[in-house]
Amino acid sequence: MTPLLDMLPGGVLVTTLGRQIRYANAFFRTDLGLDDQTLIGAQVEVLLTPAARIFYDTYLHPLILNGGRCDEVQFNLMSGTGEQVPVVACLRRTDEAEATVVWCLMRADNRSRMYEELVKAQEDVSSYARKMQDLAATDPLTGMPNRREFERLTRRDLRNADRVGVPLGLVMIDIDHFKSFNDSHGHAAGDEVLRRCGAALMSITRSGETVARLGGEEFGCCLFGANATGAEAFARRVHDSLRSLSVEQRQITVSIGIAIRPVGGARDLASLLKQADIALYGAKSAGRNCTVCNTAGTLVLCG
Amino acid sequence: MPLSRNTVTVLGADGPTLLMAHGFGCDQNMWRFLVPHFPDHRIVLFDYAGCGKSQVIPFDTGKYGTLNGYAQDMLDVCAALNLRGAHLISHSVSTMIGLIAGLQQPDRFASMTMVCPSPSFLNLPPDYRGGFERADMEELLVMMDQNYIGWAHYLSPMVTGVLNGPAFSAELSGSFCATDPLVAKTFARATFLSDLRHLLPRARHPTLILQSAQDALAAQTVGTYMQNRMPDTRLHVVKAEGHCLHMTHPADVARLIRAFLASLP
Repeated sequence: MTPLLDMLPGGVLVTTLGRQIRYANAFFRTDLGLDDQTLIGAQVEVLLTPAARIFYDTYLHPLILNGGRCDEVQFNLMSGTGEQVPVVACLRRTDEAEATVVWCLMRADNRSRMYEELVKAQEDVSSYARKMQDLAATDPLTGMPNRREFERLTRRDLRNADRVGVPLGLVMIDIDHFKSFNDSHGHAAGDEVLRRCGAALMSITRSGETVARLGGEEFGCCLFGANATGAEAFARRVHDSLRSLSVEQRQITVSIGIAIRPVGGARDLASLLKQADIALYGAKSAGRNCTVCNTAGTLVLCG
Repeated sequence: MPLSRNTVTVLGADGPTLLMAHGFGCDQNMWRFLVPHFPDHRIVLFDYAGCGKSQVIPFDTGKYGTLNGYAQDMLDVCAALNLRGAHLISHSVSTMIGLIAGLQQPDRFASMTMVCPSPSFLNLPPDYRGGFERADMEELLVMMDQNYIGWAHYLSPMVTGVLNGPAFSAELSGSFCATDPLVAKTFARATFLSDLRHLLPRARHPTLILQSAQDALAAQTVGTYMQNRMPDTRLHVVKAEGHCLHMTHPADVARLIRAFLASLP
Protein backbone atom coordinates (compact mmCIF):
# COMPACT_ATOMS: atom_id res chain seq x y z
CA MET A 1 0.00 0.00 0.00
CA THR A 2 1.22 3.50 -0.87
CA PRO A 3 2.45 5.44 2.17
CA LEU A 4 -0.05 8.01 3.31
CA LEU A 5 2.19 11.02 2.74
CA ASP A 6 2.68 9.98 -0.87
CA MET A 7 -1.09 9.96 -1.36
CA LEU A 8 -1.47 13.59 -0.34
CA PRO A 9 -2.43 15.99 -3.13
CA GLY A 10 0.36 18.34 -2.09
CA GLY A 11 4.01 18.45 -1.18
CA VAL A 12 5.58 17.55 2.14
CA LEU A 13 9.21 18.41 2.59
CA VAL A 14 11.51 18.10 5.58
CA THR A 15 14.71 20.13 5.68
CA THR A 16 17.32 20.82 8.30
CA LEU A 17 17.67 24.34 9.66
CA GLY A 18 20.83 24.36 7.57
CA ARG A 19 18.53 23.97 4.54
CA GLN A 20 19.43 20.43 3.58
CA ILE A 21 16.59 18.23 2.26
CA ARG A 22 15.88 15.16 4.45
CA TYR A 23 12.57 13.97 3.05
CA ALA A 24 10.33 14.72 0.10
CA ASN A 25 7.02 12.99 -0.63
CA ALA A 26 5.82 11.72 -4.00
CA PHE A 27 4.50 15.17 -5.00
CA PHE A 28 7.98 16.25 -5.98
CA ARG A 29 8.26 13.34 -8.39
CA THR A 30 4.77 13.57 -9.86
CA ASP A 31 4.47 17.35 -10.10
CA LEU A 32 8.07 18.47 -10.45
CA GLY A 33 9.78 15.47 -11.95
CA LEU A 34 12.37 15.43 -9.16
CA ASP A 35 13.22 12.11 -7.54
CA ASP A 36 14.72 11.33 -4.17
CA GLN A 37 18.15 10.79 -5.68
CA THR A 38 18.24 14.41 -6.77
CA LEU A 39 16.63 15.80 -3.65
CA ILE A 40 17.74 13.96 -0.54
CA GLY A 41 20.85 15.58 0.88
CA ALA A 42 20.70 18.49 -1.58
CA GLN A 43 20.24 22.13 -0.57
CA VAL A 44 16.65 23.30 -0.70
CA GLU A 45 17.69 25.85 -3.35
CA VAL A 46 17.51 23.11 -6.00
CA LEU A 47 13.73 23.33 -5.68
CA LEU A 48 13.48 27.11 -5.94
CA THR A 49 13.55 29.55 -8.84
CA PRO A 50 16.26 32.25 -8.50
CA ALA A 51 13.61 34.76 -7.38
CA ALA A 52 12.28 32.28 -4.83
CA ARG A 53 15.82 31.82 -3.51
CA ILE A 54 15.93 35.53 -2.74
CA PHE A 55 12.52 35.30 -1.14
CA TYR A 56 13.66 32.33 0.91
CA ASP A 57 16.80 34.09 2.13
CA THR A 58 15.14 37.42 2.84
CA TYR A 59 11.83 36.28 4.32
CA LEU A 60 11.27 32.56 4.86
CA HIS A 61 14.55 31.63 6.48
CA PRO A 62 14.67 34.67 8.81
CA LEU A 63 11.05 34.00 9.81
CA ILE A 64 11.87 30.39 10.65
CA LEU A 65 15.00 31.42 12.56
CA ASN A 66 13.14 34.09 14.43
CA GLY A 67 9.76 32.62 15.24
CA GLY A 68 9.88 29.03 14.00
CA ARG A 69 6.99 29.42 11.57
CA CYS A 70 5.96 30.91 8.33
CA ASP A 71 2.37 30.91 7.12
CA GLU A 72 0.65 31.06 3.77
CA VAL A 73 3.50 32.28 1.64
CA GLN A 74 3.44 32.02 -2.10
CA PHE A 75 6.48 31.46 -4.28
CA ASN A 76 7.66 29.49 -7.28
CA LEU A 77 9.24 26.07 -7.25
CA MET A 78 11.36 24.98 -10.18
CA SER A 79 10.60 21.69 -11.85
CA GLY A 80 13.24 19.27 -13.11
CA THR A 81 12.81 20.81 -16.55
CA GLY A 82 13.19 24.37 -15.28
CA GLU A 83 9.51 25.30 -15.30
CA GLN A 84 7.97 27.52 -12.64
CA VAL A 85 5.42 25.86 -10.39
CA PRO A 86 3.64 28.31 -8.07
CA VAL A 87 2.88 26.98 -4.59
CA VAL A 88 1.46 28.23 -1.34
CA ALA A 89 3.38 26.98 1.68
CA CYS A 90 3.35 26.81 5.44
CA LEU A 91 6.63 26.08 7.22
CA ARG A 92 7.17 24.91 10.80
CA ARG A 93 10.32 24.36 12.73
CA THR A 94 9.87 21.16 14.73
CA ASP A 95 11.86 21.73 17.91
CA GLU A 96 15.01 23.47 19.00
CA ALA A 97 17.08 20.33 19.42
CA GLU A 98 16.31 18.66 16.13
CA ALA A 99 16.16 21.87 14.22
CA THR A 100 14.26 20.47 11.28
CA VAL A 101 11.74 22.36 9.21
CA VAL A 102 8.58 20.80 7.81
CA TRP A 103 7.17 22.33 4.66
CA CYS A 104 3.59 21.83 3.55
CA LEU A 105 2.96 22.88 -0.05
CA MET A 106 -0.09 23.22 -2.27
CA ARG A 107 -0.04 24.09 -5.94
CA ALA A 108 -1.31 27.59 -6.57
CA ASP A 109 -1.49 27.88 -10.35
CA ASN A 110 -4.91 29.48 -10.38
CA ARG A 111 -4.24 31.70 -7.40
CA SER A 112 -1.09 32.86 -9.10
CA ARG A 113 -2.97 33.70 -12.28
CA MET A 114 -5.59 35.55 -10.28
CA TYR A 115 -2.90 37.64 -8.60
CA GLU A 116 -1.31 38.46 -11.92
CA GLU A 117 -4.65 39.72 -13.18
CA LEU A 118 -5.26 41.58 -9.96
CA VAL A 119 -1.89 43.27 -10.17
CA LYS A 120 -2.51 44.17 -13.78
CA ALA A 121 -5.92 45.59 -12.90
CA GLN A 122 -4.32 47.58 -10.12
CA GLU A 123 -1.69 48.94 -12.50
CA ASP A 124 -4.36 49.85 -15.04
CA VAL A 125 -6.35 51.68 -12.40
CA SER A 126 -3.36 53.62 -11.14
CA SER A 127 -2.20 54.57 -14.62
CA TYR A 128 -5.77 55.64 -15.40
CA ALA A 129 -5.84 57.65 -12.18
CA ARG A 130 -2.56 59.31 -13.09
CA LYS A 131 -3.96 60.17 -16.52
CA MET A 132 -7.10 61.60 -14.96
CA GLN A 133 -5.00 63.56 -12.52
CA ASP A 134 -2.98 65.04 -15.38
CA LEU A 135 -6.13 65.89 -17.29
CA ALA A 136 -7.69 67.50 -14.24
CA ALA A 137 -4.60 69.66 -13.80
CA THR A 138 -4.10 70.73 -17.41
CA ASP A 139 -5.72 73.41 -19.54
CA PRO A 140 -6.64 71.55 -22.74
CA LEU A 141 -6.18 74.51 -25.09
CA THR A 142 -2.67 75.54 -24.09
CA GLY A 143 -1.40 72.42 -22.33
CA MET A 144 -0.47 74.63 -19.36
CA PRO A 145 -1.43 73.95 -15.75
CA ASN A 146 -4.99 75.15 -15.16
CA ARG A 147 -6.27 77.35 -12.36
CA ARG A 148 -6.77 74.47 -9.92
CA GLU A 149 -3.24 73.21 -10.43
CA PHE A 150 -1.87 76.74 -10.28
CA GLU A 151 -3.48 77.29 -6.90
CA ARG A 152 -2.17 73.98 -5.61
CA LEU A 153 1.38 74.71 -6.76
CA THR A 154 1.29 78.27 -5.47
CA ARG A 155 0.06 77.14 -2.04
CA ARG A 156 2.91 74.67 -1.94
CA ASP A 157 5.38 77.41 -2.90
CA LEU A 158 3.94 79.69 -0.20
CA ARG A 159 4.59 77.04 2.43
CA ASN A 160 8.09 76.37 1.13
CA ALA A 161 8.87 80.09 0.93
CA ASP A 162 8.14 80.30 4.64
CA ARG A 163 10.29 77.34 5.41
CA VAL A 164 13.25 78.60 3.40
CA GLY A 165 12.65 82.26 4.32
CA VAL A 166 12.31 83.83 0.87
CA PRO A 167 9.69 86.14 -0.69
CA LEU A 168 7.32 85.09 -3.44
CA GLY A 169 6.08 87.00 -6.47
CA LEU A 170 2.64 86.56 -7.96
CA VAL A 171 2.10 87.85 -11.49
CA MET A 172 -1.20 88.16 -13.38
CA ILE A 173 -1.05 88.57 -17.14
CA ASP A 174 -4.03 89.60 -19.27
CA ILE A 175 -4.07 89.82 -23.06
CA ASP A 176 -5.03 93.34 -24.19
CA HIS A 177 -8.22 93.86 -26.21
CA PHE A 178 -8.77 90.09 -26.42
CA LYS A 179 -12.54 90.34 -26.56
CA SER A 180 -12.61 92.72 -29.47
CA PHE A 181 -10.02 90.57 -31.24
CA ASN A 182 -12.23 87.56 -30.72
CA ASP A 183 -15.26 89.42 -31.99
CA SER A 184 -13.58 90.67 -35.14
CA HIS A 185 -11.48 87.62 -36.05
CA GLY A 186 -13.48 84.73 -34.62
CA HIS A 187 -12.92 82.20 -31.85
CA ALA A 188 -10.47 80.08 -33.78
CA ALA A 189 -8.13 83.05 -34.14
CA GLY A 190 -8.71 83.88 -30.47
CA ASP A 191 -7.72 80.35 -29.50
CA GLU A 192 -4.61 80.71 -31.63
CA VAL A 193 -3.68 83.85 -29.66
CA LEU A 194 -4.14 82.00 -26.36
CA ARG A 195 -2.11 79.04 -27.54
CA ARG A 196 0.78 81.16 -28.78
CA CYS A 197 0.76 83.36 -25.69
CA GLY A 198 0.84 80.25 -23.51
CA ALA A 199 3.71 78.79 -25.53
CA ALA A 200 5.64 82.06 -25.26
CA LEU A 201 5.14 82.15 -21.50
CA MET A 202 6.19 78.54 -21.04
CA SER A 203 9.30 79.13 -23.14
CA ILE A 204 10.57 81.89 -20.86
CA THR A 205 9.91 80.25 -17.50
CA ARG A 206 12.89 79.06 -15.52
CA SER A 207 13.13 76.70 -12.60
CA GLY A 208 11.15 77.94 -9.61
CA GLU A 209 8.66 79.68 -11.86
CA THR A 210 5.16 78.33 -12.52
CA VAL A 211 2.92 79.64 -15.30
CA ALA A 212 -0.67 78.66 -15.82
CA ARG A 213 -3.78 79.67 -17.69
CA LEU A 214 -6.20 80.89 -15.07
CA GLY A 215 -9.14 81.20 -17.43
CA GLY A 216 -10.28 83.37 -20.36
CA GLU A 217 -7.37 85.48 -21.55
CA GLU A 218 -5.73 85.54 -18.14
CA PHE A 219 -2.49 83.84 -17.14
CA GLY A 220 -0.87 83.57 -13.72
CA CYS A 221 2.75 83.11 -12.69
CA CYS A 222 4.17 82.19 -9.33
CA LEU A 223 7.79 83.19 -8.86
CA PHE A 224 9.40 81.38 -5.96
CA GLY A 225 11.94 83.56 -4.16
CA ALA A 226 11.23 86.67 -6.26
CA ASN A 227 11.05 90.17 -4.75
CA ALA A 228 9.67 93.19 -6.65
CA THR A 229 12.86 93.61 -8.70
CA GLY A 230 12.83 89.93 -9.70
CA ALA A 231 9.14 89.97 -10.59
CA GLU A 232 9.55 93.15 -12.67
CA ALA A 233 12.42 91.51 -14.57
CA PHE A 234 10.12 88.57 -15.25
CA ALA A 235 7.40 90.94 -16.49
CA ARG A 236 9.92 92.55 -18.88
CA ARG A 237 10.77 89.09 -20.19
CA VAL A 238 7.07 88.52 -20.82
CA HIS A 239 6.61 91.78 -22.74
CA ASP A 240 9.77 91.06 -24.75
CA SER A 241 8.75 87.52 -25.60
CA LEU A 242 5.44 88.73 -27.05
CA ARG A 243 6.99 91.51 -29.12
CA SER A 244 7.29 89.24 -32.14
CA LEU A 245 3.86 87.72 -31.62
CA SER A 246 1.19 88.87 -34.04
CA VAL A 247 -1.91 87.03 -35.16
CA GLU A 248 -4.02 88.17 -38.13
CA GLN A 249 -1.63 91.12 -38.59
CA ARG A 250 -2.36 92.31 -35.13
CA GLN A 251 0.40 92.78 -32.57
CA ILE A 252 -0.43 91.01 -29.29
CA THR A 253 0.31 92.88 -26.06
CA VAL A 254 -0.45 92.15 -22.43
CA SER A 255 -1.05 94.01 -19.19
CA ILE A 256 0.68 92.70 -16.10
CA GLY A 257 -0.06 93.04 -12.39
CA ILE A 258 2.43 92.05 -9.71
CA ALA A 259 1.95 91.34 -6.02
CA ILE A 260 4.81 90.41 -3.72
CA ARG A 261 4.39 88.34 -0.65
CA PRO A 262 7.30 89.34 1.60
CA VAL A 263 9.02 86.91 3.98
CA GLY A 264 6.69 86.25 6.87
CA GLY A 265 3.72 87.92 5.13
CA ALA A 266 0.17 86.56 5.13
CA ARG A 267 0.04 83.10 3.65
CA ASP A 268 -3.40 83.23 2.16
CA LEU A 269 -3.48 82.88 -1.57
CA ALA A 270 -6.80 84.61 -2.15
CA SER A 271 -5.61 87.96 -0.83
CA LEU A 272 -2.37 87.70 -2.79
CA LEU A 273 -4.34 87.00 -5.98
CA LYS A 274 -6.55 89.97 -5.17
CA GLN A 275 -3.54 92.29 -4.77
CA ALA A 276 -2.16 91.12 -8.11
CA ASP A 277 -5.59 91.63 -9.66
CA ILE A 278 -5.71 95.22 -8.37
CA ALA A 279 -2.27 95.80 -9.88
CA LEU A 280 -3.46 94.29 -13.18
CA TYR A 281 -6.47 96.58 -13.17
CA GLY A 282 -4.02 99.44 -12.57
CA ALA A 283 -2.02 98.41 -15.63
CA LYS A 284 -5.20 98.35 -17.74
CA SER A 285 -6.12 101.85 -16.51
CA ALA A 286 -2.59 103.06 -17.24
CA GLY A 287 -3.14 102.38 -20.94
CA ARG A 288 -2.35 98.62 -21.19
CA ASN A 289 0.86 96.96 -22.52
CA CYS A 290 2.59 97.77 -19.24
CA THR A 291 3.29 96.39 -15.77
CA VAL A 292 2.07 97.64 -12.40
CA CYS A 293 3.43 96.40 -9.09
CA ASN A 294 1.31 96.44 -5.96
CA THR A 295 3.64 97.07 -3.02
CA ALA A 296 1.78 97.02 0.27
CA GLY A 297 -1.27 98.65 -1.35
CA THR A 298 0.69 101.25 -3.37
CA LEU A 299 0.53 100.80 -7.13
CA VAL A 300 3.73 101.59 -8.99
CA LEU A 301 4.00 101.66 -12.78
CA CYS A 302 7.14 99.77 -13.75
CA GLY A 303 9.56 101.13 -16.32
CA MET B 1 10.75 62.55 13.66
CA PRO B 2 13.17 59.76 12.67
CA LEU B 3 13.00 58.39 16.21
CA SER B 4 9.39 57.41 15.69
CA ARG B 5 9.40 57.03 11.91
CA ASN B 6 12.33 54.62 12.06
CA THR B 7 11.43 53.04 15.42
CA VAL B 8 14.87 53.70 16.84
CA THR B 9 15.93 51.41 19.69
CA VAL B 10 18.88 52.25 21.91
CA LEU B 11 20.26 49.44 24.03
CA GLY B 12 23.08 48.76 26.40
CA ALA B 13 25.99 50.51 27.97
CA ASP B 14 27.86 53.75 27.43
CA GLY B 15 30.54 52.05 25.32
CA PRO B 16 31.33 52.71 21.69
CA THR B 17 28.24 52.93 19.51
CA LEU B 18 27.29 50.15 17.13
CA LEU B 19 24.66 51.19 14.61
CA MET B 20 22.99 48.10 13.19
CA ALA B 21 21.10 48.39 9.91
CA HIS B 22 18.85 45.57 8.69
CA GLY B 23 18.66 44.48 5.07
CA PHE B 24 15.80 43.94 2.67
CA GLY B 25 13.05 41.68 3.92
CA CYS B 26 12.91 42.07 7.63
CA ASP B 27 13.56 44.56 10.37
CA GLN B 28 15.71 45.37 13.38
CA ASN B 29 14.58 42.14 15.04
CA MET B 30 17.14 40.41 12.82
CA TRP B 31 19.86 41.62 15.16
CA ARG B 32 18.47 39.99 18.25
CA PHE B 33 20.90 37.05 18.14
CA LEU B 34 23.92 39.29 17.70
CA VAL B 35 23.02 42.03 20.19
CA PRO B 36 23.68 39.96 23.36
CA HIS B 37 27.30 39.53 22.24
CA PHE B 38 27.98 43.24 22.73
CA PRO B 39 26.97 44.06 26.31
CA ASP B 40 29.82 46.58 26.56
CA HIS B 41 28.59 48.65 23.64
CA ARG B 42 25.83 51.12 23.06
CA ILE B 43 23.66 49.61 20.36
CA VAL B 44 21.37 51.58 18.10
CA LEU B 45 18.79 49.70 16.05
CA PHE B 46 16.28 51.14 13.64
CA ASP B 47 13.86 50.18 10.88
CA TYR B 48 13.83 51.77 7.46
CA ALA B 49 10.58 53.53 6.68
CA GLY B 50 7.87 50.99 6.03
CA CYS B 51 9.80 48.07 7.53
CA GLY B 52 8.96 46.35 10.80
CA LYS B 53 6.90 48.65 12.94
CA SER B 54 8.04 51.92 11.47
CA GLN B 55 5.44 54.41 10.39
CA VAL B 56 4.59 54.11 6.75
CA ILE B 57 1.94 56.69 6.13
CA PRO B 58 2.48 58.40 3.83
CA PHE B 59 5.06 56.12 2.25
CA ASP B 60 6.99 58.14 -0.29
CA THR B 61 7.58 55.76 -3.20
CA GLY B 62 9.63 58.43 -4.95
CA LYS B 63 12.05 58.91 -2.07
CA TYR B 64 12.34 55.21 -1.35
CA GLY B 65 12.53 54.25 -5.01
CA THR B 66 16.33 54.48 -4.79
CA LEU B 67 18.80 53.55 -2.07
CA ASN B 68 19.48 57.25 -1.46
CA GLY B 69 16.14 57.51 0.33
CA TYR B 70 17.15 54.76 2.75
CA ALA B 71 20.57 56.38 3.24
CA GLN B 72 18.69 59.52 4.23
CA ASP B 73 16.78 57.47 6.83
CA MET B 74 20.08 56.23 8.23
CA LEU B 75 21.53 59.75 8.34
CA ASP B 76 18.33 61.06 9.96
CA VAL B 77 18.74 58.48 12.71
CA CYS B 78 22.40 59.50 13.13
CA ALA B 79 21.39 63.16 13.35
CA ALA B 80 18.58 62.52 15.81
CA LEU B 81 20.99 60.76 18.18
CA ASN B 82 23.89 63.05 17.28
CA LEU B 83 26.08 60.07 16.41
CA ARG B 84 29.76 60.65 15.59
CA GLY B 85 32.24 57.91 14.83
CA ALA B 86 29.74 55.10 15.15
CA HIS B 87 30.63 51.62 13.94
CA LEU B 88 28.10 50.64 11.34
CA ILE B 89 27.13 46.99 11.16
CA SER B 90 24.95 46.46 8.14
CA HIS B 91 23.40 43.50 6.40
CA SER B 92 22.90 42.84 2.72
CA VAL B 93 21.58 45.90 0.87
CA SER B 94 22.16 48.02 3.96
CA THR B 95 25.87 47.72 3.32
CA MET B 96 25.42 49.81 0.17
CA ILE B 97 23.00 52.16 1.92
CA GLY B 98 25.71 52.63 4.55
CA LEU B 99 28.29 53.26 1.85
CA ILE B 100 26.12 56.07 0.44
CA ALA B 101 25.52 57.52 3.91
CA GLY B 102 29.23 57.29 4.73
CA LEU B 103 30.14 59.25 1.62
CA GLN B 104 27.58 61.94 2.40
CA GLN B 105 28.47 62.40 6.07
CA PRO B 106 31.78 60.62 6.78
CA ASP B 107 32.12 61.91 10.35
CA ARG B 108 29.08 59.95 11.46
CA PHE B 109 30.99 56.68 11.06
CA ALA B 110 34.30 55.26 12.23
CA SER B 111 34.11 51.89 10.50
CA MET B 112 31.84 49.66 8.47
CA THR B 113 31.14 45.97 8.94
CA MET B 114 29.34 44.58 5.94
CA VAL B 115 27.52 41.29 6.47
CA CYS B 116 26.82 39.50 3.17
CA PRO B 117 27.16 42.61 0.99
CA SER B 118 26.72 43.01 -2.74
CA PRO B 119 27.10 46.17 -4.83
CA SER B 120 24.65 44.75 -7.36
CA PHE B 121 22.59 41.58 -7.39
CA LEU B 122 22.33 41.64 -11.18
CA ASN B 123 24.53 39.94 -13.71
CA LEU B 124 25.95 42.87 -15.64
CA PRO B 125 28.02 43.04 -18.77
CA PRO B 126 30.76 42.40 -19.50
CA ASP B 127 31.59 40.04 -16.67
CA TYR B 128 30.08 41.04 -13.32
CA ARG B 129 28.10 38.17 -11.78
CA GLY B 130 25.70 39.56 -9.23
CA GLY B 131 23.80 36.28 -9.41
CA PHE B 132 20.48 37.23 -10.96
CA GLU B 133 18.95 38.22 -14.26
CA ARG B 134 16.46 41.02 -14.68
CA ALA B 135 13.70 38.47 -15.34
CA ASP B 136 14.39 36.91 -11.92
CA MET B 137 13.88 40.31 -10.35
CA GLU B 138 10.60 40.82 -12.19
CA GLU B 139 9.46 37.47 -10.76
CA LEU B 140 10.55 38.58 -7.30
CA LEU B 141 8.55 41.81 -7.59
CA VAL B 142 5.44 39.80 -8.46
CA MET B 143 6.16 37.60 -5.45
CA MET B 144 6.28 40.67 -3.25
CA ASP B 145 2.85 41.58 -4.58
CA GLN B 146 1.46 38.15 -3.79
CA ASN B 147 2.53 37.94 -0.18
CA TYR B 148 1.13 39.73 2.81
CA ILE B 149 3.49 38.41 5.43
CA GLY B 150 2.59 39.31 8.98
CA TRP B 151 -0.16 41.49 7.60
CA ALA B 152 -2.71 40.63 10.27
CA HIS B 153 -0.25 41.48 13.02
CA TYR B 154 0.78 44.54 11.17
CA LEU B 155 -2.67 46.06 11.24
CA SER B 156 -3.34 45.37 14.88
CA PRO B 157 -2.13 48.02 17.27
CA MET B 158 1.20 46.96 18.68
CA VAL B 159 3.51 48.28 21.32
CA THR B 160 5.70 51.04 20.00
CA GLY B 161 8.63 52.99 21.28
CA VAL B 162 11.94 52.20 22.80
CA LEU B 163 12.58 48.74 24.18
CA ASN B 164 14.33 48.13 27.43
CA GLY B 165 17.18 45.68 27.69
CA PRO B 166 18.49 43.34 25.06
CA ALA B 167 15.66 40.87 25.41
CA PHE B 168 13.07 41.51 22.78
CA SER B 169 9.57 40.84 23.91
CA ALA B 170 7.82 37.88 22.39
CA GLU B 171 4.95 39.87 20.95
CA LEU B 172 7.36 41.85 18.86
CA SER B 173 8.15 38.83 16.77
CA GLY B 174 4.57 39.04 15.55
CA SER B 175 5.50 41.95 13.32
CA PHE B 176 8.80 40.50 12.23
CA CYS B 177 9.18 40.73 8.50
CA ALA B 178 5.74 42.29 8.19
CA THR B 179 5.36 43.44 4.63
CA ASP B 180 3.12 45.92 3.02
CA PRO B 181 3.36 44.94 -0.65
CA LEU B 182 3.84 48.57 -1.72
CA VAL B 183 6.74 49.04 0.69
CA ALA B 184 8.25 45.63 -0.01
CA LYS B 185 8.05 46.11 -3.74
CA THR B 186 9.56 49.57 -3.59
CA PHE B 187 12.37 48.36 -1.35
CA ALA B 188 12.88 45.27 -3.53
CA ARG B 189 13.16 47.38 -6.65
CA ALA B 190 15.65 49.76 -5.02
CA THR B 191 17.61 46.81 -3.63
CA PHE B 192 17.77 44.39 -6.50
CA LEU B 193 17.86 46.67 -9.50
CA SER B 194 20.55 49.09 -8.38
CA ASP B 195 24.20 49.00 -9.22
CA LEU B 196 26.54 50.81 -6.85
CA ARG B 197 29.81 49.31 -8.02
CA HIS B 198 31.09 52.77 -8.94
CA LEU B 199 30.97 53.82 -5.28
CA LEU B 200 33.26 51.07 -4.01
CA PRO B 201 36.59 52.81 -4.75
CA ARG B 202 35.31 55.93 -3.00
CA ALA B 203 34.70 54.20 0.35
CA ARG B 204 36.03 56.35 3.17
CA HIS B 205 36.03 54.01 6.17
CA PRO B 206 37.96 50.94 7.25
CA THR B 207 35.74 48.05 6.28
CA LEU B 208 35.25 44.43 7.24
CA ILE B 209 33.36 42.26 4.78
CA LEU B 210 31.85 39.10 6.25
CA GLN B 211 30.78 36.62 3.65
CA SER B 212 29.03 33.34 3.75
CA ALA B 213 30.76 30.44 2.01
CA GLN B 214 27.47 29.56 0.30
CA ASP B 215 25.14 32.45 -0.29
CA ALA B 216 22.63 32.45 -3.13
CA LEU B 217 22.43 36.24 -2.95
CA ALA B 218 26.11 37.06 -2.76
CA ALA B 219 28.57 34.59 -4.25
CA GLN B 220 32.16 34.49 -2.98
CA THR B 221 33.30 36.17 -6.18
CA VAL B 222 31.23 39.22 -5.18
CA GLY B 223 33.17 39.54 -1.94
CA THR B 224 36.51 39.37 -3.73
CA TYR B 225 35.25 41.83 -6.32
CA MET B 226 34.44 44.30 -3.56
CA GLN B 227 37.66 43.82 -1.64
CA ASN B 228 39.70 44.38 -4.80
CA ARG B 229 38.04 47.72 -5.37
CA MET B 230 37.62 49.14 -1.88
CA PRO B 231 40.45 50.81 0.02
CA ASP B 232 41.29 49.58 3.53
CA THR B 233 39.00 46.56 3.36
CA ARG B 234 39.45 43.08 4.71
CA LEU B 235 37.35 40.10 3.76
CA HIS B 236 36.48 37.12 5.88
CA VAL B 237 34.55 34.13 4.59
CA VAL B 238 32.55 32.33 7.27
CA LYS B 239 32.01 28.61 6.71
CA ALA B 240 28.26 28.78 6.56
CA GLU B 241 25.27 28.62 4.26
CA GLY B 242 22.78 31.30 3.61
CA HIS B 243 22.48 35.05 3.60
CA CYS B 244 21.80 35.73 7.27
CA LEU B 245 25.11 35.10 9.00
CA HIS B 246 24.20 37.37 11.90
CA MET B 247 21.20 35.14 12.63
CA THR B 248 22.69 31.73 11.94
CA HIS B 249 26.25 32.30 13.22
CA PRO B 250 26.01 35.21 15.67
CA ALA B 251 28.94 34.08 17.85
CA ASP B 252 31.33 33.83 14.89
CA VAL B 253 30.15 37.15 13.53
CA ALA B 254 30.54 38.84 16.93
CA ARG B 255 34.05 37.46 17.38
CA LEU B 256 35.12 38.71 13.95
CA ILE B 257 33.61 42.14 14.53
CA ARG B 258 35.33 42.44 17.92
CA ALA B 259 38.71 41.54 16.41
CA PHE B 260 38.11 44.07 13.62
CA LEU B 261 37.11 46.86 16.02
CA ALA B 262 40.13 46.11 18.22
CA SER B 263 42.42 46.43 15.19
CA LEU B 264 41.20 49.94 14.38
CA PRO B 265 43.54 52.80 15.33
